[in-house]
Amino acid sequence: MPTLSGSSWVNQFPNSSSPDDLTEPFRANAKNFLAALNTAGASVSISSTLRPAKRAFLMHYSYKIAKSGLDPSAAPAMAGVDINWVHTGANGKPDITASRKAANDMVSGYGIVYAPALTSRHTEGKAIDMDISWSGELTIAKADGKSVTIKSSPRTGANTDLQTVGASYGVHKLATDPPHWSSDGH
Amino acid sequence: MKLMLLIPLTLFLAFCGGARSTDTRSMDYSARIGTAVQSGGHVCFSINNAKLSPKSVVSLVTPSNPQSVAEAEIIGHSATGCPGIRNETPPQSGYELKLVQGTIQDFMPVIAVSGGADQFTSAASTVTAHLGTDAANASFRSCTSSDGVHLTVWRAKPLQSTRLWHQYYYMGQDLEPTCTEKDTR
Repeated sequence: MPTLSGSSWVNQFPNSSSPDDLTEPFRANAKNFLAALNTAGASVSISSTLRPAKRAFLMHYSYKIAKSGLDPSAAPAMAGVDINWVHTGANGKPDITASRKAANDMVSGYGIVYAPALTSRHTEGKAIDMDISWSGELTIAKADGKSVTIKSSPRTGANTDLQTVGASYGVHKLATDPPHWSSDGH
Repeated sequence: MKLMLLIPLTLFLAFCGGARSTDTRSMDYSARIGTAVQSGGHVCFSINNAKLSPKSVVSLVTPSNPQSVAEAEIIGHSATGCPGIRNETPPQSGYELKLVQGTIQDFMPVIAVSGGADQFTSAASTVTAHLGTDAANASFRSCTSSDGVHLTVWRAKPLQSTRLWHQYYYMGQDLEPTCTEKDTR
């Protein structure tokens, strides 16, 4: 029996900030890069790793129904997400107003203000968002074991020398989003 | 002989004028423009300026369509600032605001400009601002990248004029990207 859409869905399929929830081989690559950062004395704060595809599906279609005029009955199904987007009135017929309100409750619960993507490197377990910083020089090992000393600025993940080190581990920077690193830079 | 002196002098003055113009163009707006977000009944404000006083007026520009301007005043300093402003060099100062006129949408980062709403003009759902003689019709824009929002202020038309100010705000959600390279570089 499908569960009607509404705010009760918001806490299901929570996001993760653990590298353990990434998918291989990116999981091992990211962990190796994190270990190198830790050994080098950099400060790392991870915000996000895996964002479940089921959560992305709920966010994407709740926004489409609430804000973009999608007919609730036109939302596709997803295996493992037994949701009914179509609310009915006392007469048993679809109630579009109630359906949009329930979808909007989900949008508010998720804190959505911009159109959510349906798929991403995060939903694939191939991305990690993290803030990196250090003071002074950073001497860090690349994947081949050779150390490099980074003297350049900024002393954050935006540093291109650090991004070269990350790339040696298969952890690539996405330029448009300061915290975002992934398997291919997307 | 006079002509020989006049030409270099003219070139020198032209250079000085050009240099002054360039200096104005590269004026740093980061102490005057910041980011604000409303959530849970609170409005946070982050900016590269630690010297703003309580009761100071801040105008809040919603840069997505339809654009609008609300007015707020500073309640006091906040230790954390807005959560999506992260790892900035130098770190930004945090304040808490109280809305005094108009509204802003929950969770939507808005562009916060020191000073009152009288520096803004709204027409056809578009807001422009007089930010000084060199930015008499400044405009506002927001766009999304993969995980966050790029907020920008432009000297004149967005993407077609000099970008005066830029701030990335991390949303922590997968978004459908809408930004161009001019927004994010």
